Amino acid sequence: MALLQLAAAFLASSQLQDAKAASGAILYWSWSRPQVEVKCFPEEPIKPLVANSEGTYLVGGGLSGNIYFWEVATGRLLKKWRAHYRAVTCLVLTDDDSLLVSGSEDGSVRVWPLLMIFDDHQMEQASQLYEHSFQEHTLRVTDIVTGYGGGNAIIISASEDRTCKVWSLSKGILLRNIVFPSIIDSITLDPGEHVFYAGGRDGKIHIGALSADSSSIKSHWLHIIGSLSSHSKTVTCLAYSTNGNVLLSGSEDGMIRVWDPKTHNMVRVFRHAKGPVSNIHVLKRPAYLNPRMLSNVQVSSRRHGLSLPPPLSKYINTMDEKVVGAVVNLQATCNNPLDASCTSSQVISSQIKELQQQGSAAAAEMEVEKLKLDSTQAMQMLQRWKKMYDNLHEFCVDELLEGDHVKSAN
Amino acid sequence: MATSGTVIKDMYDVGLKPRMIRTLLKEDVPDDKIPFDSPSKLSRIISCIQSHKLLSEPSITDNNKQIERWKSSVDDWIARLLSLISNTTSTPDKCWAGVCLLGVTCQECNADRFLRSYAAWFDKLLTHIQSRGDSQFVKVAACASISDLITRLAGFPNVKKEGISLAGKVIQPVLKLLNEDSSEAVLEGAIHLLCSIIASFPNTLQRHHESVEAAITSRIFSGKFSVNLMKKLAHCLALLPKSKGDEDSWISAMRKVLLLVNGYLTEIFAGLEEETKWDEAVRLLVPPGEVPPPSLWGQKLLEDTSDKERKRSKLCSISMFMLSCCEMLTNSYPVQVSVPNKSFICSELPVLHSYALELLTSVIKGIRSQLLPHAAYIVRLVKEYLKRCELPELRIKVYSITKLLLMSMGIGIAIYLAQEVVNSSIHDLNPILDGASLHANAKSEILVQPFHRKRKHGVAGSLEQLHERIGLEVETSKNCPTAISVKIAALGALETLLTVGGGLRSESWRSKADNLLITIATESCKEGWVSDERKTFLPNESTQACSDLQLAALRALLASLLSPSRVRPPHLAPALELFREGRQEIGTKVSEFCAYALLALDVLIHPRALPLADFPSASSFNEVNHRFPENNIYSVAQKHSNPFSSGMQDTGRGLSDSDDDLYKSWLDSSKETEAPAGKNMTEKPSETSRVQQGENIPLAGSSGARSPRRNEHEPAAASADIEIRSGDEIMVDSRQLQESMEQHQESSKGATIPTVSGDPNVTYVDLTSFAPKDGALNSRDTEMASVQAVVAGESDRLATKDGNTATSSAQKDATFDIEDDDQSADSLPDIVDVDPDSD
Repeated sequence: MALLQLAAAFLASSQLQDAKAASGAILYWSWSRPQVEVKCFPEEPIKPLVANSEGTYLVGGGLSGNIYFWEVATGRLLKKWRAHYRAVTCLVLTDDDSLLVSGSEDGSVRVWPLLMIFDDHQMEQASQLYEHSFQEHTLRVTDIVTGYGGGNAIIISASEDRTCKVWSLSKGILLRNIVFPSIIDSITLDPGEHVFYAGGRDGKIHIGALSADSSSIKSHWLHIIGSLSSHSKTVTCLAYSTNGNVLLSGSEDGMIRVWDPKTHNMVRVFRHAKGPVSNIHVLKRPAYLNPRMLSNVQVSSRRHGLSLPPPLSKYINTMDEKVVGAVVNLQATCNNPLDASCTSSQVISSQIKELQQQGSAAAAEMEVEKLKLDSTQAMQMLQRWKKMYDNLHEFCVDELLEGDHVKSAN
Repeated sequence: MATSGTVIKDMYDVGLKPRMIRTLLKEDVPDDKIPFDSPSKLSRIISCIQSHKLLSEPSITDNNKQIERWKSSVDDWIARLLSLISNTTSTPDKCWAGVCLLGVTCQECNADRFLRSYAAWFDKLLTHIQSRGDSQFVKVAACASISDLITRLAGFPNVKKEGISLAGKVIQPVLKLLNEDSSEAVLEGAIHLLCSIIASFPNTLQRHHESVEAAITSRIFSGKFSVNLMKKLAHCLALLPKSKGDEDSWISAMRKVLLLVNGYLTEIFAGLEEETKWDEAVRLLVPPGEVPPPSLWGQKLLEDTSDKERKRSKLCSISMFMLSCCEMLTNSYPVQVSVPNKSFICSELPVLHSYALELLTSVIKGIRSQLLPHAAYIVRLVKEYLKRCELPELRIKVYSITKLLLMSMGIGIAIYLAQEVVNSSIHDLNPILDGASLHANAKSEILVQPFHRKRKHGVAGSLEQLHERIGLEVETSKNCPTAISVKIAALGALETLLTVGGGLRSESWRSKADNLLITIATESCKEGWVSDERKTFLPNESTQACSDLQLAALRALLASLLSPSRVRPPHLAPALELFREGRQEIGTKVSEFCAYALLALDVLIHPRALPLADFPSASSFNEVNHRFPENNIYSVAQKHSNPFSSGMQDTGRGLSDSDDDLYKSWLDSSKETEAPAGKNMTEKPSETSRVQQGENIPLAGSSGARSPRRNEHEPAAASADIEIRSGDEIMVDSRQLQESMEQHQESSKGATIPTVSGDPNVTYVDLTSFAPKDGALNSRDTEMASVQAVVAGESDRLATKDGNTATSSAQKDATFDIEDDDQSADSLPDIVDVDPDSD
């Protein structure tokens, strides 16, 4: 059984498998309804599932050892390849979504560059598809985690041979082998990769040292620097919540325990009485979920079902491959695009510059207009002056004439 | 204006603001009497208003006199502006000033006032857009002001209806402006207004969608405007589908554009490519069952012209349409849409590279992770490009695409691209092939000569030789800014490559890249840092490019130092020197970066393995009083050789941890033992950077025999080990042991000493790898010598495969010395394997 959230959206995809039956299904659940929304029936039962961080692809590992690669939005099966001799038990993507790490019942852990998977050209030349194949586990691989750092990350795998092994992705070598007192079913990394937590079948969560100094710890078990215990039954799943810095563990007895990793104390217990807990995912609370909802554990939730993508197809359909294009989910993040910004002051300053240089036709035009107006005003003024002059002249002439009259009269 | 009679406290006093407004009104803002002599006055007014927030009077209605005064002064201000705008007798420049200031007022005034009076303002402004007689300046200013008004209006959700109706009123006049033969400035203003309408009230355009589209495309087809305006037109075209806001319109717009581009390209390359391409593309673009339209926007898709002018204009419009595609892909769009077909876009365009590459860039940006199925194809395309393309601008673009790919697809693509990127950046950064010979000028011609001779002589060239060459080359190419910018782009790509994929499968190119980067960095900085004084004296462009090159080189150098590798970065010392020097240039970007680089490198120099503050030391597994030294997680054991890791098996340990060990050894040796540390330090002083990887030595705390004749001691050591070991309950997988021994025998590198002894039930396998003793950097074969010691059960074989150097044997010796010592007896176990049978 695997559970994952697709693309931070309301889409939870889960997967079921009737014990040893010939069929299994991948189910889509929306946040809004407690029922299954979409059922997909792949070619064979799928146990592990993983999606890339954008939620565009879904990768599943089959019982036969095949890995299936679907595009979520269209449901197309893009690739299917033979990865292991026996059933794929776990799948993990590195943090840059470019490498796929798979573990299998046959004990092998393989690293697949996704790019290579889609490169038919290279595929013909290369003898094998995988980048690394780690064969050191002798029994079924139960869980895999990858660390940060793209190509320089570490991979930790747990197996039924009671070991956890730390691998270097870049060098393809075993870095550390840690033997545990019981079989480890689930592992999770401390975000700083200081230690890792391994949930065992003995009900304990063991703390394995990575960069932590374990030399001062007087432990019987090499590289194990402690354990958290109180579980009565197998620890089935672990999750680290960076929000609040707590470790969550799910157990077969149906309890979800929350631990403070610093003090090693249990902080809280959630009870899921109906059956064993198989998966824990720590999600950011979506905005539409009301605060009363338990955001940590993805048990169920309501509201806001949007249309779910079509079911995953069973086989690679070569016919429609050429017609259908990719689906682009253009990001709507940039809310205030450039065009909505205020510009009048910019326009003004550019216009001022233009005016000052007086080079452009428009500036000249305005200048001409202005001059025209000036000239009309000047004309008016001139007229007025002229009139005034005329008046004055008339007046003077009158005066003179009158004076003459007076003189002559005298 | 001392009417208030109060004393102004400081420049933030509220009482000051109305006074300032009145002063502005009295002295600067033109009116019938006040002349408007210089346009710079306007900018002074605007900056005064904006910096003092003169128009944003508080909306609280108490009896504060000062605020009343402020309000009334703003009233006056607006009355003055409106009179300026509407007064028909005023000169156009005054009218223009009024329109401009009203636009600023729309942004600056407080919300109440805006909501009260925007409609009136809008009407006044609109008349200026509509009227024929107005000068272009006024029109442009009116467009800008209206656009600001609409943008502000969109911020108030409660007036949406009014906003839509207002925006609707604008569209017709704007369309008229677009269709008229107006000048570029007016067109630009109109386009801008249109864009802000689309951004603010997209629904208004719904009815006019067709006509707007037609207007814009006809403008693009006419092709007689400046590039800037054309880009704006393309941008607006890309925004258009937003007005409908559904998937179909986006797709149809995209399809139209692509069809057009395809049609034009087919026509232009008629005879140059196969005829079928058109059909193929059409089949991809047109949904099945539909007939491709014979013409779009009044342009025939397939048309035979021999008219050269026409072809040129078509070429121009193709690039614009491609730009429009780019915008569509990268801009936000509310709905999920299906891109018709993208691999087609990338492939069809042999010329117009630049825009095609840009298109490719936005394809990558737009579809992000969904590129995966096509990534390999694109990678091949990019590789091919890197090999063939010569033009500097194109190379820069290819490099930026490379960066983009690396960032978006991570390590997976780095594996693919690494070799090609390194090769081509060596090509671009390398003096011989690049600058001197290609971008030759008279001066460089002379300088080139010795290079060629040198090349004939030298094989790969020593580091100094390379230094020399590059030094000369930097000088010669300084005059050519494009060459420098290609280099900057290449350095950027290299930096990204190192950041993303420095660790994985990098052996083949890593040392090459490191060497190259240190050389480039040294050379670019050798002739001094570009200081501010030099900037003032020298022509601006080349110095700027030069300092950019320095910065890019230093950035790439830092990446090469920090990027994980198998050995301690070989060029750490010169690089530190460079960064220290660079930091001295206070006030420059380079110095800022150097300070950052030194901070980042500090971790390399002083490795820290900090404990978690309150990590509990108590644990439930305390029964045995053993002390396990925590070397670090990278203590290596290799048993199987798989095809992929075979190349890496001989390499002992990672870089970062070896530093940890160095540090630890440093501390420990000073505290506990003096001898092993002394050994480390003195043996080969020139190679201390490698010697440190013998990490176990200091932990040994051994005072035991340190004779260089290791063989004498080994049996003793082994047996001592067994004695201690036999107490442990650790189970043994002898099969694994066998394998590991076989592997040792196969290994031809380094000295391998499987030491086997003792108790068949208890086996303890310790594989400790040691670092290389020889300083040869370039030869991988001799780079690392792994020394592995195996203590095992059945056979008492003591083999020395190829007894290496005295130093390595001494180190082995130290390893075994550990076994003599009681406290550190447990210091070795790194790998403990449980017998699988026990499961």
